[in-house]
Amino acid sequence: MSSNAALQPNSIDEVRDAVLASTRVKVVGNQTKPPLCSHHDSCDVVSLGQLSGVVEYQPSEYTFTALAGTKVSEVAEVLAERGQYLPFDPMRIRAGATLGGTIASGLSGPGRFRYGSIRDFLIGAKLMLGDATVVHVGGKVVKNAAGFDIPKLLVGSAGELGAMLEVTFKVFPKPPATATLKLPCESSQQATDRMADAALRRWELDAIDYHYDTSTLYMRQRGPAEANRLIAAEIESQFGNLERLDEDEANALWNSITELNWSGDGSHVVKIPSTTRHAATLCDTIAAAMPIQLHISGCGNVVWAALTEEDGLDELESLLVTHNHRGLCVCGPSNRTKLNPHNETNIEAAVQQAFDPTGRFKS
Amino acid sequence: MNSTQQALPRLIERLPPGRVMQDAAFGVAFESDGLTAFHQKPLAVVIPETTEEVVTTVRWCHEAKIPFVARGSGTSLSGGSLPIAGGIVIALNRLKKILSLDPVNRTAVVQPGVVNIKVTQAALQHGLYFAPDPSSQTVCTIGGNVAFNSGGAHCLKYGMTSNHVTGMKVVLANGECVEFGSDSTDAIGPDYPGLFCGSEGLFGIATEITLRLLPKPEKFHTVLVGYRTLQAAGDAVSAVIESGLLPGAMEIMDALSIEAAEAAVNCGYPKGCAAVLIVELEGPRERVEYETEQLRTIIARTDPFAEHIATTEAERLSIWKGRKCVFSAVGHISPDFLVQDGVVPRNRLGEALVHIQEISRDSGIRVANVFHAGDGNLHPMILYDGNVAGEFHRAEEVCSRIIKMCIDMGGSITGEHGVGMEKRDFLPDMFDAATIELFHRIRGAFDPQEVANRGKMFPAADAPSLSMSGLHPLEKQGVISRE
Repeated sequence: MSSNAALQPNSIDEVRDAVLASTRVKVVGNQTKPPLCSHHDSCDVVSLGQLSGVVEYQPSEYTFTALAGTKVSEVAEVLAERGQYLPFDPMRIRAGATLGGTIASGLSGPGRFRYGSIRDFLIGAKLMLGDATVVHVGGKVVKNAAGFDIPKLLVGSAGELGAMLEVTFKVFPKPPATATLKLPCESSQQATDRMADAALRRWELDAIDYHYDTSTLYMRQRGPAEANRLIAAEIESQFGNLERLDEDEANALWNSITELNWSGDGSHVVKIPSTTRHAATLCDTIAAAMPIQLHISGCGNVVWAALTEEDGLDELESLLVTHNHRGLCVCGPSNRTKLNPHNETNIEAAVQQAFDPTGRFKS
Repeated sequence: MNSTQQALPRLIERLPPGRVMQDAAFGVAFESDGLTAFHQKPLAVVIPETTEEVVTTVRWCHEAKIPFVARGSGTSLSGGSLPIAGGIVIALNRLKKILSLDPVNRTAVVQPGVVNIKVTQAALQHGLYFAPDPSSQTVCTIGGNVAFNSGGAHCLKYGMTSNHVTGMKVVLANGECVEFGSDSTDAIGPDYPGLFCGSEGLFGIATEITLRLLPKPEKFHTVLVGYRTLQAAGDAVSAVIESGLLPGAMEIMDALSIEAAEAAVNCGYPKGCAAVLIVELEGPRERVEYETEQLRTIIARTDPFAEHIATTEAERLSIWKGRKCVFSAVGHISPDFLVQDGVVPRNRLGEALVHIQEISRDSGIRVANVFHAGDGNLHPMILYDGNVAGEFHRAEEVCSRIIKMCIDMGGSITGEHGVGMEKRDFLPDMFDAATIELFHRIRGAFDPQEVANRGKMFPAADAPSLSMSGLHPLEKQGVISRE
C-alpha cells in the first residue's frame, strides 16, 4: 500500500486522460473513509474532489444533479434553503464527504429506517468505465424503470466499477419539526425488543438507534411539532419515562452518529450489517469477547463497532466469521477494509469485467 | 421437428411427471400476456414446483441453447412475458409459498409466484403491509413485480419494488444458483438485488425474494377534487408539492377516463369536471389531522369545481375503485386500446397533457389520460377500433409520439411496465450507444448465450407475430388493469 499523491482532474476530459494514462486507478473523493481509499503501490490515485458543484436542482421535482465530487454538506445547504433534505442521513458530511464517496462506500445514517437507505434515493449517474467511455445510467425523474438499474449497483461498489462523474438523487420535503426521545434500557435485548415493538406501531418513527455502551435507546420523530408531542406521550405510556432532548442535544447526538464521532478520534470503525432480530446477540457476543464500543443503528440493521487497537480487527473478524456476519472498516488508520469478506462469485467477477474490461479500477 | 422438440425429452426425463406441458391447447393460455397485441405460441410450458426444478429447467435451456421466458400471472403490459419463438415458458405459479414472515425484522421471504396482495394479507396480522401496489396487485405476482420493478400509486413516497427488496435467491441463466443481499437493509459491496430488480427476466429467475414490510398507516385522508381544466388539476399537484406535504398518492384522471369509470362502476365522481385529482395523506392520526388542514387550505386556493372528502373507509374505497378500475373500464367506451407508461418531469405534466391532446387531435385517435401525478408517470390510453382499417397503426403512431415526447422532456420511456417487447425500439432514444453497449455486456455476464427472455428490452429484428386484439380475458372480467 502507498499514499501516492492524488491527481486532481478538473474536468471529465482530464479524468479520461488520467484513467487512460494508468493501468490501475484508485478513485477517491475527499477520503473521509480512509480505509476505503487504501490502494496498491501500483495504483494512481485520482481524486474527483475538483469535480464539484450542483448542476441542476428542481425543487418541484424532488431531484437534484451534482458532480460527484460535490460535498454532501454543500448539497444539504442548497436543499435546506427550499425545505428539502436527504432522508437517509448521509454520513461523514461534516468531515467533507462527497456525493460520489457516499455512494461508493454505501453508508447511510439513522434516517435510513423510515424511507430507505442511499440506494433508494440515487436515481441516476454519469459514469466513466474502465475503458474510459462515459455512460449515463438511470435517469433524472423519480420514477423510471427503463434499462438496468445500474445506479443501485454503484452503491457500495467502492469505485471498482468505474469513476462516478455526476449523480442524480431523489430528495424529500423536510418535515416541519424533529423530536428526539431518550430511553434507558436494561439490556441490549430489551433495547432491540423495544425497537421491534416501536417499529411495528402506528408512530412511524424516523430513526431508532441504540448506544450500546450507555444502554440508551434513541427514537427520533419527524412531523408537525404538536403531533410529535402527542405521539411521544403515547410512546412514554408504553415504554416508561422518556427524556426529550432539546434541539442542541439532539443535533449533537445525531451528528455524532452520522459523523462516527462517538467512537473517538483514531478509532477503527467497522460497519456490520445485521437485523433487528440479531443485533443484540451480536453486540453482546462481541462486547463479551473484547474491549470495543458498539452502536446499533437503523433499527438494528447496522451495528457500528469501534476499537482503538488494530490488532482488535483480527479478533473482531474471527467473531464475525463465527456468527456469519461481515464487516467493512470505514474509519481509522488501518488499510484493512473488509472483515470476513466473501469470495468473489463468478457472476460478480463477470459483472466487474463488463464495467471494467481492463481491470483498471479493481482493487 | 425443431431443436427444442428434439431436446425436450431430455428435460422431461430430468423433471417429475406433469411438469412439462406440450399440449397446443394448453399453450394457447400462455401465448400472450397483458399486451395482447403480441402473441407467440410456446413450444412447451414447464411448471416447476421447486427451486431445484427451476435450476434443472434453466440448466437444460442453457445446455441446449433454448430460450425461455419466466412468467407468473402474465399481467405484463410491455410484452415482457411473451413467449419466445422456438422457446419455452417457465410458469412460476406453483412457486407460491410465503416461506417466512418475520414481524421483528419486518421482512417476508416469498416465492416468485406469490400474488402481490397475498403478502399484505399475510402481513396485516402483524400490522404490516407490502407497499408496492400495482393496480393488478390482486393477480400480479411478486416475481413479475421484481422483474419489472413495478410500483403503483405510491412510488413517490415509498419508491418502486426494488426499494422493498433486500435479498433474493436467483437461478442465473446458466442454471447456477446464487444468493444476493440478505434480510438486512444494509449490505457490503455492490447492490446486486437492486440491479436484479427491473432486469426484465434477462438475468435469470428469482426463486426466493426477501421483502421489506412497513407498518400499515393508521389513518388515511382521501380527497377527490374536480377541476374545470386538466391544467388546473396539474397546477394543484404543484401546489401540494410546493407546500412540503408528502402525500402517499396523487392521481389525476381526465374527463374521458372519468366517463369510462362511471360507465363501469358508477363511482360517483363529480359531474361536469374536466379532471379529478385524488390526494391521499396517510400516517399517524395526529400527523394526518395536521396535514389535512394544510391540504384543505391548499386545495381551496386552487379554484376547485367540486370536492369530496372520504369520511368512511367505504367512501375511500369507492374513490379508489373508480381510479383502479379505469383501465378495464375503458372497454365500455372503446373496443380496443393501447396504454402507455411514459414519465415526464412533474412540472411539465400540464405541457405534456396539452401535447397529448394535440397528438390526439392530429391523429383522430381518442386518448384518455390517467396518471400518477405525484411522480409524473403518465398512463395515456389510446383508444381505437381494431376492425377499422388502419386504426391500429395510427394508434401505434400515437403511442410512439407520446413516448418520444417523454424522452424529449427529460423523462423516461417507462415508469413501471418495463421496456419488454413494446418499447425496445425506443431504448436507443433514451440511452446512448455506449450505455446500451454496457447493458449488453452486463446481460452477457449473466447470460452469455442469451437464453433468458431473448429478444426483450434490446432492439432486435425478430419480432413475433403482431395482431390486433382487444382486452385480456382477465381485464374483461375486471380482475386486472393496465397500470
